[in-house]
Amino acid sequence: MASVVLQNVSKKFGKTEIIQGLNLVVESNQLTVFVGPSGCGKSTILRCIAGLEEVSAGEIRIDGQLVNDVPPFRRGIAMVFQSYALYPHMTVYENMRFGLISLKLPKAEIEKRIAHAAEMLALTPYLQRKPKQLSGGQRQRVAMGRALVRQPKVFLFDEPLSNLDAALRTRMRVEIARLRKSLSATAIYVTHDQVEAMTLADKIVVLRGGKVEQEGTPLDIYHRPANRFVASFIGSPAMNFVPARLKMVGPAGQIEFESGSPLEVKAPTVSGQHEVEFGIRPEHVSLDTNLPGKLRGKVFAIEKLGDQSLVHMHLDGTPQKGMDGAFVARLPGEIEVGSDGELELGFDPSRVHLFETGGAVIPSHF
Amino acid sequence: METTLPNSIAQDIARASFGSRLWNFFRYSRVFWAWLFLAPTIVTLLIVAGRPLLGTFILSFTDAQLLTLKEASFVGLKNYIAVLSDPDWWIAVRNTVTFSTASVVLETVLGLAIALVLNAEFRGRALLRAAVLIPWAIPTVISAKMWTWMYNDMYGVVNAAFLAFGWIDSPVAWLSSSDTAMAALIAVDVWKTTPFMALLILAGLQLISKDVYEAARIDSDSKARVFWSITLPLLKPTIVVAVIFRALDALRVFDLFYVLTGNKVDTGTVTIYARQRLMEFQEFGLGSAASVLIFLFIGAFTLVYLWLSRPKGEQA
Ligand SMILES: Nc1ncnc2c1ncn2[C@@H]1O[C@H](COP(=O)(O)OP(=O)(O)OP(=O)(O)O)[C@@H](O)[C@H]1O
Ligand SMILES: [Mg+2]
Repeated sequence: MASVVLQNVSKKFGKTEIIQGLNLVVESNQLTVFVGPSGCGKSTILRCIAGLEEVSAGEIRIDGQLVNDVPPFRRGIAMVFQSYALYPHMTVYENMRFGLISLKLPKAEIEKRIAHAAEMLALTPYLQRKPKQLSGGQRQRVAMGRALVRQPKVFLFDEPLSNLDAALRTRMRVEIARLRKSLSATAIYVTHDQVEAMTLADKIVVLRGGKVEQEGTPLDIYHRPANRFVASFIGSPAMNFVPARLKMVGPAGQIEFESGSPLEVKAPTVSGQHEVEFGIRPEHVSLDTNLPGKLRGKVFAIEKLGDQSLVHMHLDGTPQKGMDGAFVARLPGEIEVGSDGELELGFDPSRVHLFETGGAVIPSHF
Repeated sequence: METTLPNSIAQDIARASFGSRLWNFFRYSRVFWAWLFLAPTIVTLLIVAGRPLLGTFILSFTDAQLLTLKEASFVGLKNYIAVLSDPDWWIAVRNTVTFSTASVVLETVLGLAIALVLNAEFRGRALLRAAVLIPWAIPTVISAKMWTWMYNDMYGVVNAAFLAFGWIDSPVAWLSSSDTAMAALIAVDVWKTTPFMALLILAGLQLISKDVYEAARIDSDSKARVFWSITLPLLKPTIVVAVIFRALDALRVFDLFYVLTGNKVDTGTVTIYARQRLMEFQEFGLGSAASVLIFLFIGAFTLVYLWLSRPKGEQA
């Protein structure tokens, strides 16, 4: 069942249109993650759903009800802000209670909900503290608690973990995943963090410039990116793109590129000869040169992470300078290369994604 | 191998190291440098404020008159008893307290309201913010003079307006009658100082993070509740400071009363009283005692106020 539906939603700030004709469906009991580059309008969409911004055009429905003119409080949402936005002069307990009093709940129910949320988030010892007497992680949990106790139809999270350090972020991420299981709530979650997006999401929506580039399950988007942008945005380090020529003879053809031997390909939607790019993820190449796909280049840097190495190289036939167009391979263990820096890599052609110069994916199999 | 240094050299080293130790002490002592940089201010203040204050304090225990300053003799608390048993003094105290309370309360409430308006987003906000400050930018003596004319019973604009609206039947001498003088003076002070209050409170309002208001909009749809439970508590530190600034000014008010009502006892404040004793009656001892009392009175007020408005229930 759909819980939040956006129909043709546009948002203008002054004359600049940040969001144009956005259509989006958020299913009930799912966690939908919005990802996209900075400034693409993720927060703006979230704030429109919350009612903190008015949409310039289009309709927003929550649980079937048109909410365009409904104030934030009456939309049945709860929001966790990146800055937490706790009430600084209130204790943790009062922070959680503030919204419940507005809901006109009986006192016993209020107490019960706060106690339950505090228990779940390990906040019980801190109920009488003010936000400034808490650590960053504890404040974050208070912000979550304040949303939880409202038992909203939809949770809205705007980069809730981005102010935490790496270790704490991992812990809270697991915590959120655990809460999700026990609550089966509907949530929209905005993040920059790939790992958060991949691990928490039932559905990922990739946005760019206020438009949806692709939506789907995390693995769907990882394995079947709809275009070059999504392919490069999801995955870290990002996918490599190798300039190549596609030569079709009937439904079958060849991809030719300078740093390796041609690949056989079937791409039924195209014919003739095209300049293309093929994409391959850093984790999908290996030192096994018996694989059908081959790439040669010169290594210019190796980042050794212990369990794996990130090998940066310039493929043969590409500019031999700078990071632009450089190729990254994620290889297991600690890699050493000869003094000439030459390295040959192998890959499985079925891992290859083919893109038009315009960025759209070319349906193909190898 | 051990060698013994000649005595003189050993002494040199001892001396040198003592000297450099001393030098290092001054060099690295933050307290020393702090005092050094503060010294000019402290010395200046001692000369221009400390010395006259001390003089006033000493004079208040003597029977000094302007012409007999040199041969004044110590009279103990006599001046203080005289001031405290003077009904005029108590009238002045009552006037001062009435004026300060009424004007500060009105200015705070109006200032808060104006600040809330100026904090909202609308076209021409910058212009309005600047315009609001005009009354405050005019020197008190000038605005006092201006209001004297406006209050004038023959050709003042206030009477003209009130007559036109039919609120009064005949022109009123606002400043001469002690019934209306206080209200008239409070009105002038409110007109003049509300902008200052509004600006201070506006600065405080802008310190409150926008996110907190947005969280509140999600948590409640009662604007009144958000005002009372969020805005006002978060504004409290600002208001406390603003009120103390204003109260100190109001308690020491002089120019407004001096220009608008002159030396009249029944509408005078404690500063008018002190000035009268000092300059007109030339009773330096008595006037000084009154001044010291004003000083103590305001000091005590400040302490009580700060104590009452201290943040409660906060652990360090
Ligand atoms: N109040 C505003 N007035 C004008 N422009 C705004 C306003 N709020 C946001 N914008 C613009 O809208 C665009 C989208 O902003 P938004 O905050 O939604 O981005 P975002 O995707 O959340 O970015 P980030 O990942 O950095 O948080 C930006 O270009 C921003 O400059
Ligand atoms: Mg954002």
